[in-house]
Amino acid sequence: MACGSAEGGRIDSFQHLLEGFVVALTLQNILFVLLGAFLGTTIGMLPGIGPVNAIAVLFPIVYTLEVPPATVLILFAGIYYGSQYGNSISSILLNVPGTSAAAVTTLDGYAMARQGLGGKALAMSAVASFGGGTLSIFFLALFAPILADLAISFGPAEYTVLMVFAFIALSSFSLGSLIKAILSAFLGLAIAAIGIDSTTGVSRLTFGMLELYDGIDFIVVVIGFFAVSELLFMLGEREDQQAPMQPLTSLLLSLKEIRDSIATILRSCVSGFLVGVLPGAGGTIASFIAYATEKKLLQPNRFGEGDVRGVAAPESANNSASVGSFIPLLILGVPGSETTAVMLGGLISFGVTPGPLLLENSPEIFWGLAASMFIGNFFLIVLNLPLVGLFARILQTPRWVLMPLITMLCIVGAYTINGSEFDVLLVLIFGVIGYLMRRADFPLAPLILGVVLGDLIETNFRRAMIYSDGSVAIFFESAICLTLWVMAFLSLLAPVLIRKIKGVAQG
Amino acid sequence: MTTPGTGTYDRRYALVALIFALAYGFGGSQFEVGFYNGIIGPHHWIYGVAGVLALMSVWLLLQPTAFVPEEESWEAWRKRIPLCLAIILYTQGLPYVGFLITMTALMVLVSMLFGANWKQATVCAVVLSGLCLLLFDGLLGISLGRGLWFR
Repeated sequence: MACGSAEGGRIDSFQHLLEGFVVALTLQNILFVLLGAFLGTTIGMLPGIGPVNAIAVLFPIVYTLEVPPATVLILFAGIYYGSQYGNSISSILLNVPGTSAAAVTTLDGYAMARQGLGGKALAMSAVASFGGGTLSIFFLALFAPILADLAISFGPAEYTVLMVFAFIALSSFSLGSLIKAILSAFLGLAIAAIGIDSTTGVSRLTFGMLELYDGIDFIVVVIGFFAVSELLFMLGEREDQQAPMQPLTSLLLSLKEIRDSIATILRSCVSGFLVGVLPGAGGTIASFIAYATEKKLLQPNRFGEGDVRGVAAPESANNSASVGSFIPLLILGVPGSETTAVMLGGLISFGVTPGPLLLENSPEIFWGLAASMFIGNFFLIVLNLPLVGLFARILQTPRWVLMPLITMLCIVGAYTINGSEFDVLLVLIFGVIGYLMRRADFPLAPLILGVVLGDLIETNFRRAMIYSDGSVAIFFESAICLTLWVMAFLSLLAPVLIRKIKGVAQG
Repeated sequence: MTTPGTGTYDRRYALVALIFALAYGFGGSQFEVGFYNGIIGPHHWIYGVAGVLALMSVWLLLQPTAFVPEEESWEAWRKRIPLCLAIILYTQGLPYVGFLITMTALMVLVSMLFGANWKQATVCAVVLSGLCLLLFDGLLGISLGRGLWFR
């Protein structure tokens, strides 16, 4: 019986996925997938603008244009996984990973490029990203409905504990000082509490300033803390600090290289997806785990000296992790990374509440997204290999063109939210604070999570306290709450394990 | 355990965070609340956030990490400060002279801060600002600020 219903669930999932293709294959959505994939690739390889900044800057535009939420999510997801492809280009040719998730790719990718095999490394990165990204979409379609069934029984207490777990996991996985990560998260909560209280309508910490009555928009916070702080960082760097770009060579992989890498791609996809589902873990940890696992499993190997499987493992894992990270985002309403946190904020602004009811109330958003990922991954491999020369040229854009462009997009992005100069000033203030925090090794991801989840966690916490008549025991009563506390405790131990894995990966 | 002097950097930040936490908590006591506040009122949440911030700041003050950032040259700040001032000036000038002039001026400065000569910076600034205005104001219909003097 159980077996039959599980099989029925699988059939349902694939039927829904097929329906998702009906949503994803409209002309508008195909164009947005293409745009997202292209923008993501470009953004991923350029220093200074990661997917977070791109989504933050684009958000006011799509909001003003009244693009449907499903299409917006398709565009943002395209940027997110497209940036994983883009990352590998700068990692392999320049030894500069666009984000930390691509840091492992540099180990073998750049080594290959220095041996005149940069084209092969790029081709393997595209193939592995495609393999990992595509296969993980099946996992998404399989597991999301199961988790949604479980999450439907969540009440305010369970949601509060779930968000606490997300905070703890994200803080632990950031691998620096836990105290600094907690301070960062609570600074985010402090920012989120500014404005009118959603429960009582009282205005808090607005100091009579009309601009603060609606609270501080999360986009302003994201642009300030990520994009402007990055600009301030880059003003302190010299251009000649970069490694020389390696020449682009033949992209053709031999049959043996492909055959040898298939098992690596499959294993890394599975581990990457599982890591991606965990709030806070994300692509960086997924790629380190996959690389370390393959390095141990495949003996003898030339990992670190230019082994093509050393490119396949992290690329498959980080693409798979980026797909996996949509499960906590869409099914639980809890983002696992700064990029998905920004997406959550965006969806809420569009009146879509991610959570277990999303699959019932707005199935077109979830299944349309899943189907669009197939299409996006296909576009990425079809476009990226022939266009890799063009992307390599974009990488050589001088900073005096790129940085003014980023500055302009930050300012325009902040201004267009409310048409207010006040938001531009806030962006600058947050940029300076973000710069000082990054210099002192404070992680910014917990801060963004605090800003995005601040209102939700406060509302759920206060509701739970009303239900329990002021007793905090409600947060420890249900089996779900207890399981989440145990998971939160276990995630506190994660940094020790991850440091060991990193040690294996690096040497 | 950290050696003497190694935690100085963290302690400075902890002190700033502590002052912020106290000010935030004080700010939470300054607004008027309604007749119904639930069991946890709007100010209690602020106290809670301020309390944890203060607690963690004290912890960091007493147990700083050994983290020391890379040394920075004064040269970098000589670029950062003009950028910050220019953005402030942009916000003040925008309501009067509009997007095109203020953004072009800002872009010239940013471009020069990143190594362009004045000719390159001017071309870059005019092209970027013009394209941006065309895209947002012209094609998308999103106003970027026309300015009182040019309305």
